[in-house]
Amino acid sequence: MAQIEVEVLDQPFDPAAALSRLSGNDADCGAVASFLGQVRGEGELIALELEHYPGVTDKALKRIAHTATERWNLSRVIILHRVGRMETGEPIVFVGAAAPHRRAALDATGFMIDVLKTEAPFWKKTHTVSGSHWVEVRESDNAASARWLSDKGVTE
Amino acid sequence: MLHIRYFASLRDQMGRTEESLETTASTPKALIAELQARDRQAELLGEPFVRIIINDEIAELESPLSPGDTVAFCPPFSGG
Repeated sequence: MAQIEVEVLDQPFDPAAALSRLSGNDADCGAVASFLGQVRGEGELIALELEHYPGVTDKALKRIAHTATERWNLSRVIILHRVGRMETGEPIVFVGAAAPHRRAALDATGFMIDVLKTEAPFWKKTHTVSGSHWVEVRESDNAASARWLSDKGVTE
Repeated sequence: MLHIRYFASLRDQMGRTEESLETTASTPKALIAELQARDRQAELLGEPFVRIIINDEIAELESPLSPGDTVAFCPPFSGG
């Protein structure tokens, strides 16, 4: 039974500590893969703000993590996601999987970050010198998620 | 009575965070039609990209609604 850690945070988190928890030191865990998303300081960005739907985001992330453990042979899964206001370079999201073998760890990590973008109710707003704007969804994000969901989906 | 919530850009569009509505709408589709008849800002609610959440679960246009339900209208999710 894989361990699952999921958290929505309104304060900065330490990705190195998350990676350390993920790798642990079990004998059966030969591979650890992770993805870290951070605030890109493009253009006139002052800050990034993340809104979410409390209660629903948590449930959606748990469902995504749980689905990953059903689809791949994993030892541990972590999903951390920030909400609130963030500045350039700050971590937004950490997703990772530990597994006996690398393919499962890599694929589960790709699955979780791609699906999270379209299945968990978070919204990004950029604050720039010239004003504030809601971030538009890119078609490539929808395609990346659809690639994983076309056969199974995330419902238990 | 339904409790309605609006998130992110749809909240800006509707000019409100939430409202309670006396209605007989039995699906989100019917509720959207009622809101659109009431005010012009609600036009966007009928767009295919709008995600609907009923009582904290992702739902569809034709999902059943019961009195006391909370219906949330959300723009496309953009986390990660």
